[in-house]
Amino acid sequence: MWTPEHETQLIERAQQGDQAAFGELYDHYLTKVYRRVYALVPESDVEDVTQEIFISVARSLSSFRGGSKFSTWLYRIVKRRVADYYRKGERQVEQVEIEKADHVAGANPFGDKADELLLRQAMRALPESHREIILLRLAEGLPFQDVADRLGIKLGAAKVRFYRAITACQEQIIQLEPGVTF
Amino acid sequence: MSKKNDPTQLAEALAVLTDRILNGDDISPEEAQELGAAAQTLQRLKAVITAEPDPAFAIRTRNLAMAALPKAKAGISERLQEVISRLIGDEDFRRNFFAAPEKTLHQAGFQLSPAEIAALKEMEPENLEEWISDLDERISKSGWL
Repeated sequence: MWTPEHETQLIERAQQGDQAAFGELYDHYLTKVYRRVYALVPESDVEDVTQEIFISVARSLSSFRGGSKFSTWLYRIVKRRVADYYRKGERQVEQVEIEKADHVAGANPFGDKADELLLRQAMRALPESHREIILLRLAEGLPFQDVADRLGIKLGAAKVRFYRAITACQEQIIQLEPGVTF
Repeated sequence: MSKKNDPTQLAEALAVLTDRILNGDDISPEEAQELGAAAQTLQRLKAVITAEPDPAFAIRTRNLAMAALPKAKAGISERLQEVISRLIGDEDFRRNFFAAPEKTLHQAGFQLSPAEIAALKEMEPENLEEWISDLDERISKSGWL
């Protein structure tokens, strides 16, 4: 069972260069990180960005001092790597992909590819608090009570924030694709 | 207030629907229709966000990351480790540092040696982790500590 104490031990061992300990941390966080990246970056680049993140984590793990949760530190690296990705200009590439996907999708604005690209754009346009609660519930699969604990809010407030986040995402989709009707 | 207009009730209903969708339950069109567009958006997001990494990719990345794991950095001072930690985790601090390194360090109460400051100034925001991984080598070459 994964406990905070076990995680702390693994981090300390990995900081001393223990590859097995790092491997265990990696196995625990890979899917969570991969899903976060998948929600924000075009599919063709998800693996590259995820790989860069874990190499960055390995290289900079010695600087983690335990002042925040390891997951918080890790997700800051995810956020920065995704921001770097868009700063480097891939955003324009994605726009071209959307146009191509729209063309392929034809009359159906929710062709799978076009839909994924649209959802990623909508996710990126959300305020951080909205994006985070969607990722915690859907990407990490945390139950609402755990989401509330992680965010330091009450259970009811977490559910309301989640509802508002989904509604805001839906509004972003409408803004990005004015012709879309629900 | 009817359920349709009460945010708390709508939020509760969406939470229940989310739990069921993530449990793999079948959702009837009638059930989804109760929450309208929110249910549709949720289902579409779920399809995108719950992707699984390819096993071959997972193994490849695991090996690459483990190979990038450096040895313990016993040679780096506590104060320098603290600055690096802030640079990794604190966006405002990082932005201010790259705009005005000495001023930012001073304002944050860090007292580093001139050599440590010079080494920090060599780094580029895009290559932070690479810079950190080479730090031991820089330290041993410069004989800072």
